[in-house]
Amino acid sequence: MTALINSMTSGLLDSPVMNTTLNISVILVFLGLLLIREFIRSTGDSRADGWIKVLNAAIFPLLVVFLMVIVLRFRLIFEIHVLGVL
Amino acid sequence: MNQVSTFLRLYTRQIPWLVPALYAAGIITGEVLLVAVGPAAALTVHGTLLTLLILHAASHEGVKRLVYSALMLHPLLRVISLGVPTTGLPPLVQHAMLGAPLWLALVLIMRVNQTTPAGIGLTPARQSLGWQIGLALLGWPLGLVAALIIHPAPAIASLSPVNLGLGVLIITVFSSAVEEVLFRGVLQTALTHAFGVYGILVTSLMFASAYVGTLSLPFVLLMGAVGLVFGWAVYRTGSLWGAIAAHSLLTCGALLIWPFILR
Repeated sequence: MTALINSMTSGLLDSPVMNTTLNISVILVFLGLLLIREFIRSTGDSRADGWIKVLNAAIFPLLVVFLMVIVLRFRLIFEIHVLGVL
Repeated sequence: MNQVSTFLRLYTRQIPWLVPALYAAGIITGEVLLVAVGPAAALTVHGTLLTLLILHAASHEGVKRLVYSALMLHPLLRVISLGVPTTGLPPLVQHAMLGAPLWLALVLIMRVNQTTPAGIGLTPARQSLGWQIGLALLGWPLGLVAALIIHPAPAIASLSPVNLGLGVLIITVFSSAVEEVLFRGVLQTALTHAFGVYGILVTSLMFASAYVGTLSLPFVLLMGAVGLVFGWAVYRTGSLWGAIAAHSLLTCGALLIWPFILR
């Protein structure tokens, strides 16, 4: 079935406050991993490439999530404040 | 502190499946917390596990890296599904938005481990064609059972050919295929290295736990059984195609067709 969206079908994420908290939390996870990657890169260790490859496997998908959050939040702000929806 | 560290090192060397088993248990606990406590608790657990697994995978090579990096995918799935603000968007758009970053994660994890598509069962299944077709056809009645248990709202507005075609395409690519490649392809392949044949059982438990959010025990049990059958078939035949087709028929039936017929 769809393990990806099942948490939403049961109404767990219907609250806008909860949605915002989760969006910010995921962005913090993304920024945290980005920080770890840059720290490892700065050490110049010979094993850094392997570490960065593994970190990138989580960072790039979360970057896509981050961009989606930005676009959708701006769309919401545009709809509320410019178009007067809601 | 040194004694504890030596003890742990010795213990994990004697029982190599212990740490992966603890991670799997942590992931299942995170899924249960999603409904027992709330999304914030689940995100905390999955975010922590994801970070630990990244560090664990990065500090190892070979099979251990394969196992830990594959385990990363489940917390990543949940972090993505909780993080993308899809509320209010059409269901098919939600599927595409959540499936796309997961595909990216799968490709990157496969690159980290130098895994080829053939290595996870994405190979022509000429020798087991009968098995693959049989497994695929199983998806249709399973879709009916799933629809009868959770009564999902249809993912499309009407059963027009355009809606249906688009729905089948999006659900197959961004939901069914991505989940099969994740669970039966990458995760099960990695976990059978850690647990042997019991890797199928552990993968099925993790797969079932991903459906705890439906708040339906019969549905979670059904998906656990589906995971076992699909997992065993993939393990025996070495091909993912039958499981992908069955999963697609199951999901498309339950979300696109059965809701219109049963109402």
